[in-house]
Amino acid sequence: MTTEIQGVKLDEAERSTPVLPRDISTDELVFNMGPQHPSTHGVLRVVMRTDGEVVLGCQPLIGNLHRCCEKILENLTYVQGLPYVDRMDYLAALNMEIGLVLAVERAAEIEVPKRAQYLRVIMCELNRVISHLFSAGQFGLDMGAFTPFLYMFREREEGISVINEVTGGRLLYHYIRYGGVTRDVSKDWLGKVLKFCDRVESHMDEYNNLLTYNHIFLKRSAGVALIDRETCLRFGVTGPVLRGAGVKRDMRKDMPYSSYEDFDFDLVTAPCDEGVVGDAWNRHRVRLLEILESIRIIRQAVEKLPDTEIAHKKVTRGWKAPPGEAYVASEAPRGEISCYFVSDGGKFPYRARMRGPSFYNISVITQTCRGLLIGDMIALLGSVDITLGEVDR
Amino acid sequence: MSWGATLSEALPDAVEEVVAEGTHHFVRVKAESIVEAAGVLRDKCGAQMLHQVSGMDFEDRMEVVYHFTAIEPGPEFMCLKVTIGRDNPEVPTLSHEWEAANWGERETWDLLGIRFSGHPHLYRILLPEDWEGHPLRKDYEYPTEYHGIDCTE
Repeated sequence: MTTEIQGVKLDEAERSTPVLPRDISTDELVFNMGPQHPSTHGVLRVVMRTDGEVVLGCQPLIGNLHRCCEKILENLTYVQGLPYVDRMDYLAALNMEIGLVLAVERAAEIEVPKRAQYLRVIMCELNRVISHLFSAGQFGLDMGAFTPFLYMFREREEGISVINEVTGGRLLYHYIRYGGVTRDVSKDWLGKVLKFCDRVESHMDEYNNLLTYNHIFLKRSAGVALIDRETCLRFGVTGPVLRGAGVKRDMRKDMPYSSYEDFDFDLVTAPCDEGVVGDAWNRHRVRLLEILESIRIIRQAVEKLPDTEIAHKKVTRGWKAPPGEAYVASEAPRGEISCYFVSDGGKFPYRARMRGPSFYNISVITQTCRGLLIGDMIALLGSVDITLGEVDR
Repeated sequence: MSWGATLSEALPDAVEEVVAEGTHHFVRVKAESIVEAAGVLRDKCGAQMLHQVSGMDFEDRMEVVYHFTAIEPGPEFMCLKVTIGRDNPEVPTLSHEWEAANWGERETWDLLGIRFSGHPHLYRILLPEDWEGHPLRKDYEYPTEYHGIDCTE
């Protein structure tokens, strides 16, 4: 595919080569992007070294939202500590809860009732849908497309209301507990979930027409900000960024937890109908396709929802884990959240080391930024899709 | 866990303990052999990504726990543990072979005060550069003020 820029024909491949031809060298300029820049999605400060419009290197300075979640967990009882992990990735709080809870349950060898497992799946996938809608809309906003953002927020609002009805929270839920979930759901609510799924699915073409295959959006994201397979593996990048680079890795498939093995769904990798594997556009496309897979899972879980208890009987208010340790990873919308949990049998967890997927995902921009234009830095940051609460924890 | 056997076969002097039962499987290696052990995991056991670096404070000793992961085929986690003294904890860095260790080790230094020798950029990453102490140590004393901001309430 050939592009014409100001009368000069450029190959698509040449446009995406790491170092652009620099016939005019200007003075190197070091400046800050953020911590209040709209495209940094929070309080992230990136120090960039540039030559004209070309970025030579960058260093993200993180920690503005740091509150030492791990220390907080060590100083609270098991039940008290759980709401704090919600605050890590506030856009996908249920996926954060399950990250901690799974590790504690593995270490304490608690069997979770089947209905609770299915409810967790429904909730986590609903949360993934609204989180991906947010990310895709936000990425469009970064690329200058304002309207799709509002359209996606319309559906996201409805999804939030659906979760709100059961959990009582809009962003931070505290719904998943050790050994099960807090509240049971009604038939009526399950009908609303299915209605929400139908609605998102019916609007998918609209999103694609407005944003994904929009000519301007394609020009700004296809073939831009390549993160290849090797780079992902070296930097510990997971989630849609890794799958956007063509790697088949999804904890829901690879190491199923919470009954994910019962459901029939596909692992989405870079579809590559535009752009090249590992570019910003394919990362965005993977997210939209994952929404459809999540909807498939939700429909099956609603249909097959078993009729058992929703919580383990032995886990009560003053419950504490017996001595032991475990490491469990699960798939959050932004990548793999995992927890290395160690208990000494005391009232408080001895150590709960949380892996924030965004923490490792953002470290990759130190390499990928080289040779990008400043405008493409925005495409890189937006398509990697970080949540600063989870980077800083 | 075949990787534990492979590791103790390849580096019999470095492996101190192999735990292949219970809820968490790991191999404990000597601190000075961590780079070699990680190399064996990569070359012979299919470890492709460093998933997480965790520091641990046990009041009488410290530990650094590395979780590696294989991606395809046969995804699994492989865990290496290193025990070090609490007075001057120091472990060789993995950041030259595994780029993910760069930030993971910086965070461990920042929050637990474990040094990684040979690390190219071992500075605080989450806390401000002038912060005193390492919060995740069990004997950490909470500050009373920071740049005139009262932290006691």
